[in-house]
Amino acid sequence: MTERSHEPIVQVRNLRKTFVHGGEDVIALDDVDLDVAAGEYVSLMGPSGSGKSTLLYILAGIDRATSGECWVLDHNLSELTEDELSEWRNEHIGFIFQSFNLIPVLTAFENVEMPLLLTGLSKRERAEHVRTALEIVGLADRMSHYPRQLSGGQEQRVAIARALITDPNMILADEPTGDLDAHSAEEVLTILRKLNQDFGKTVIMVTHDPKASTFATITHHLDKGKLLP
Amino acid sequence: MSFGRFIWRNAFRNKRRTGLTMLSIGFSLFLLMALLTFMGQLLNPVSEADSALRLIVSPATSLADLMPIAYRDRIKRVPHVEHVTTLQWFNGIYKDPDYQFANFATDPEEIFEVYVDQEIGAREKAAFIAERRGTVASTALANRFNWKVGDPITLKGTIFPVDLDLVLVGTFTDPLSQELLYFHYDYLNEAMDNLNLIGAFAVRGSSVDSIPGIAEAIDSQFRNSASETKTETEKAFVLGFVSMLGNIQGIIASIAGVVVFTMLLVAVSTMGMAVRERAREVAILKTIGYSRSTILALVVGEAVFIALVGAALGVTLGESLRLVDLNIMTQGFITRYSPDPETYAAVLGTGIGIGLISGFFPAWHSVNLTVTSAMRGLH
Ligand SMILES: Nc1ncnc2c1ncn2[C@@H]1O[C@H](COP(=O)(O)OP(=O)(O)OP(=O)(O)O)[C@@H](O)[C@H]1O
Ligand SMILES: [Mg+2]
Repeated sequence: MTERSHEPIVQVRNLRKTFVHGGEDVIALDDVDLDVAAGEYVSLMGPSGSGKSTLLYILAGIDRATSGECWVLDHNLSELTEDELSEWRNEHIGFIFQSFNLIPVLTAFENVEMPLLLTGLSKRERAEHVRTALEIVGLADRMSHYPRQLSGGQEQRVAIARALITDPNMILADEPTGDLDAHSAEEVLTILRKLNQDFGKTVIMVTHDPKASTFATITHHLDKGKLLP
Repeated sequence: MSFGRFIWRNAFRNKRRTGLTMLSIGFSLFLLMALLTFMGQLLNPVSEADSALRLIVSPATSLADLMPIAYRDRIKRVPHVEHVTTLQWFNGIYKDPDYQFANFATDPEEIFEVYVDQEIGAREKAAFIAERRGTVASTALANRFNWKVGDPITLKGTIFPVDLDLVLVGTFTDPLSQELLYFHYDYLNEAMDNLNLIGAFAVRGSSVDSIPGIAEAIDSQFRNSASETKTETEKAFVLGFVSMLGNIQGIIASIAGVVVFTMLLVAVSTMGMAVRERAREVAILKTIGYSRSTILALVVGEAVFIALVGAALGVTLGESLRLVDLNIMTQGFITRYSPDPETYAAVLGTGIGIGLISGFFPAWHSVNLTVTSAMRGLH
């Protein structure tokens, strides 16, 4: 529906990330340059330990780069404070982990509603948004179910609903289908593609699965912290 | 969904653990409540405004010593003294040594003039004055033994080697519901072959301002005599009595301290456990935009909520003490359960403090864990 514009939504330059592990520096990202245009569906692939999750966390403002620049949605993330980053994430970023996305003591409805508690929306408005989001992922009939009453695929779809509830510009997913069977994986990938194509969301998805990456408009490869050309 | 509901859900995710925490906080705060209340009562035994007008004259040497009864008339002549009564602790045994209650030899005409907050009917007072062997009991005491006017009451002497055959002629009310029995000093004195000695006088002054002057005037009158006196306000006198029991305040304070500290350890360790298991959920809250301070507030709020339920439980348990007769259970040591507002505030404050502390440390640890570490299970 929305026209794909080509202004960059992500601009990464000379990005480095090192972890100190057992007294030694581990280089997780090594001089990464990356541009992502608004409306793209990016697939990030690479062997285990190549730095895919690390890059995604930095793009989401969850983790900070050791050096280099990371512009996302016209913000230089390294210049934002923790609190500014939180607010920015709430507004602009939807994030999906591989597993353990949901809070077990809350229903599907309540899990999806959580990000909205930080906004000024009324209870009624929140309920409407949550219903719409759960409809998009095909779980309108599971609203009052707790995570333990849902299948792995359904849990991931609830997580997607929560990721899109604040109508963010970008949806980041770290191996969203890594724990799922082929059928559930297909459902999740289809929904992500719908969000990209029908709702114009920029999607960046880390995956190990070559089939999953066929859903993307572009695939990047990481190896040992370096982005392959 | 609201933050309040979120806190509620989290608090009760492990119902048994939360229930046990609430119970242990409840019982500890109940203990604290009771200790503070009874300490307050021991250290502040006479709450009536009337008490400020009373002085107790006793021998300067020791409470066990006696003074000449002739002092009574000399004390009466001291300026601003309105009434003087003898007050002799008899410590007599009624039937069974376990039936303890306070019994005093006193002056029937004067005792209710000095203790005007103890009320007796005019006819009963007249009967008390008229009957040499007459005795009057506080209603609390009369009710305990189901005494009726005309009942004979024999007190076996312990300090004094005489037994007294008394007859109940009336009852009086005591504002603190103490168990008290009064009888004629003259009757005791006669039984003691006119010993003409006395352990204490109770004096009523004309105004609060005159009290220090009266005390000084009485004591200087008998200074350098064979038996010097020590005149104190009633409150000071009773506190002197309490201090003979040892450093009660210190003992009670240290017990209360241990109770609070133990409860704090329990609360900190259970909250720590509860929050540690949620490291991933905290990471998710951060990811969806919750700031560290919001998460901190949610966890601390949960701990304070649990502690407050515990505090409510403790206070309720305390209130149930109003239903039992402490006066009998403690043989008059503690007359009733009546905490002052400061005690309620102190217990509630302790509860809130425990919640804040037990919630803050685990919460602080978990919000400072990075999302990457939490999601990797590195906590
Ligand atoms: N918090 C951390 N502490 C120490 N080392 C870390 C941390 N996070 C990542 N690393 C290291 O950084 C490197 C990249 O890790 P990352 O998780 O980004 O890889 P990945 O490509 O997502 O791997 P996988 O496919 O297994 O998820 C690895 O060597 C990893 O051990
Ligand atoms: Mg990874």
